[in-house]
Amino acid sequence: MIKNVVIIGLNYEYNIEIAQSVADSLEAYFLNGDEFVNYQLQNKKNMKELCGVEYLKAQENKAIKGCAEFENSIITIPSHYFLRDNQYKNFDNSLIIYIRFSKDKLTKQSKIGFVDEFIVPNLLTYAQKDLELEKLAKYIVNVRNKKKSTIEDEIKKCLEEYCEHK
Amino acid sequence: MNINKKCLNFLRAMSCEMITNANSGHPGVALGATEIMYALFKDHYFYDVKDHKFFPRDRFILSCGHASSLYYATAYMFNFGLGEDDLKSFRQLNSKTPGHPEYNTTNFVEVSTGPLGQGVANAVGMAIAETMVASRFNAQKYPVVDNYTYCLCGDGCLMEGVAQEAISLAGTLKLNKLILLYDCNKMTIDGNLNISNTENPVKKFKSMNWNVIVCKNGNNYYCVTRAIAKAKKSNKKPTVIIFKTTIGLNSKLAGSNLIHGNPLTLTDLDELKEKLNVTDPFKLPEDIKNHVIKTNERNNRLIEKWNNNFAVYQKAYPELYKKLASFMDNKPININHLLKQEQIDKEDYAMRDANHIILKELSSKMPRLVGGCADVALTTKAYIEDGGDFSCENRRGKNIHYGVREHSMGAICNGITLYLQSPSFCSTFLAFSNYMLSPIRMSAQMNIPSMFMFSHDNFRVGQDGPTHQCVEQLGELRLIPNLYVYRPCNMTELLACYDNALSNQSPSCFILSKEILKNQNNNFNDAKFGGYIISGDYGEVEILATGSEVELAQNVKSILEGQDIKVVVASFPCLEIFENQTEKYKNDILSRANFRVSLEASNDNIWEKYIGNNGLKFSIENFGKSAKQNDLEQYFKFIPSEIAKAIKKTVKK
Repeated sequence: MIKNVVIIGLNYEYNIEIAQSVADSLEAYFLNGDEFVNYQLQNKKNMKELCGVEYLKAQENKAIKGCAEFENSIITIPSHYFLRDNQYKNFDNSLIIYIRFSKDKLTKQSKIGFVDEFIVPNLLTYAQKDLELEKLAKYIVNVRNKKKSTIEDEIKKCLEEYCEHK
Repeated sequence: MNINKKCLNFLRAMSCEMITNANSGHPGVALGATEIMYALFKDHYFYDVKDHKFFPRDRFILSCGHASSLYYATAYMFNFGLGEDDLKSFRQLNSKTPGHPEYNTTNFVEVSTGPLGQGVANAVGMAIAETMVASRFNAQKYPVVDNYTYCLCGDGCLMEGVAQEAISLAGTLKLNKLILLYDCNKMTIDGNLNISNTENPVKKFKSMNWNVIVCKNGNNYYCVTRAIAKAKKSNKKPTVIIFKTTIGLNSKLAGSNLIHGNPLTLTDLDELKEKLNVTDPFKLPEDIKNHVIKTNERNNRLIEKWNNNFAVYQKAYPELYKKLASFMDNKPININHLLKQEQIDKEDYAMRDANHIILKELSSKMPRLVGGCADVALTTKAYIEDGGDFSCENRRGKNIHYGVREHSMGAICNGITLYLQSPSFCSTFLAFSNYMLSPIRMSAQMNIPSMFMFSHDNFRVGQDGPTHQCVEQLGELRLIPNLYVYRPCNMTELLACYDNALSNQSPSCFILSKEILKNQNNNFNDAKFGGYIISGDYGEVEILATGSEVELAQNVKSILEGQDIKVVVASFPCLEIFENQTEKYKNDILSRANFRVSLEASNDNIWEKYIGNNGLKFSIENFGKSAKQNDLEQYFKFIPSEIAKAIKKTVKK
């Protein structure tokens, strides 16, 4: 039995919208992983200044682990957190769905997890991240020219298919 | 700042400002339980802000009613219909935001709370009622009724016996839709909790067949919402979530008992607001309003889904829908024709037996009528024959076995009455009504039609002795405002009492004899006046009596009339109803003789105003003895010959 559904991808704001919508239609709880981490850490800038990057990273990792403790929820989490230091292992008993954007479509970088100066920097390229997420995800949903409602339906179909096989 | 954090800060600032403005209130819990209320309202509480009576809504009860400022602030934030002015008039005269939540004053408040622990029992009652309706009307794929009952309580609530009783019953009945949110700050008014209570709540609840979730960080919104989500998954047991919180969080006195009930000073309030980064707590910024809109949208989607499902249910299950409509209907009942005339005229009844007959007939006309006893059903006879016993295996049962739990029985009965919006009853001996004074009082304050039925109403209980013989109980009950105390003498009067009780929608106490009473020649319509002449017209002596003493008065009349003293007997099945009659009527009833005598087996002083300075009062002024009924009647001189002798002596003077 899966614990959660994790919707992952390289456009975090897009993922939030999709995941929230899927959660509403399934009457499941929606967890915004980035918001969760920020809530737990309260003031990351202060933490980095006072305690250093390594400490901040450790606290972020702890908070990411906290996300995985939810149950029966639809979770989004920035790929930046997901791929760092094998944090994806926290979600071993969750169903991972990768919403894939082609590189050319990612013209405006998602703000979250990339550009804040006081966040632990992410050093992977697009190709590396895409490869990693492809390996980790159970299902991949390609965004290319599709409406959001279509993406949501595809995600629900993935869930149905998964439940049938289980 | 994280939006959830911002909302929480605003809630804290709002609650404290309300308290400081009123110079009265309880900031401790308002600051400590903020995350619990916020998470509940934001993520879980199913409610229609446009229709506060939307039946399938979740129920929320604030058992720790002193957290009212937090409750109102949260309701304001989530658009429950309170305005800024309402918050600013917290604890002021005629405000919609009274010091403790009041049913009928604030439209989203489910029940008045304040006396600690009552709310827990009310919540159990609502959870019971939910299962009753669900079992009768839910169809596969169409749960017409499927709501949770949430109750926020504190350390104090759970120390009260009423809560302990209710929790025990809830575990026995496996009320899995009941979720107790326990704000465990381990602090009471007098200091640390362990100066008076060192029990282990986890073990306690588990022993009473509850699920227990411990939320170690009860001041972390995400931990709180996760815990509530987990609690909702229970399908066999009620759940308590023990939130470890800090009383008065963010204030100077955080963690101290001193913050419990002391408003923050203006300086402290300003410091708090600065710390929380809030300038004007009542002016919610746009980002918070937008954030809250998502919650309202969540609820609106669920409401729409329910409405759509209900429309399909109506078509798919037309018979069941018809029964549901009939179940919820409030059509008036013709009590006068409830029984056949021969049932009324034929026999002498003990009032507890007469009541049993009426309950059986009434339940067929009032499908929502349910009730129970505190382990004395076979003695008080207040159960619905063929109604079935309510249990976890039989949710359709109409008779609830409350166990020896009188106090919680009264409060649970109130919860059931509120949920079903229809009278529900509970019963025990009159001597044990003392356990239930608080819920009886609360029902009167809320003006809800709970029916409290008490048998074994006087010294004639006999050999059980003075602990079971009533003296002051009638007087105590009659002192409660808005409570109707009915003490009928026969089936006709009992029917009239029911007619009054069901039409006036206020709470009622039925005081029922254990002993068989001789039937009287009286009239239903006269009895409805609450006080009327039952025999005679005008005379030298007028005897005012109630219940069992009406027969005694009639016997006294026979003796005195044999001695050429004309006597009129007036029966008063309900003094409150009598007092509501016109002055002309009351004067007429009370002026059939110059010399009036009251006759009631209680010490209620109310009779002194009816008999006047020259009258004679026959009462029971002291505790009785363990003896047979006849011996006690001799002991108290409550026998016709003694009473007639005393009256004659006074009249002849």
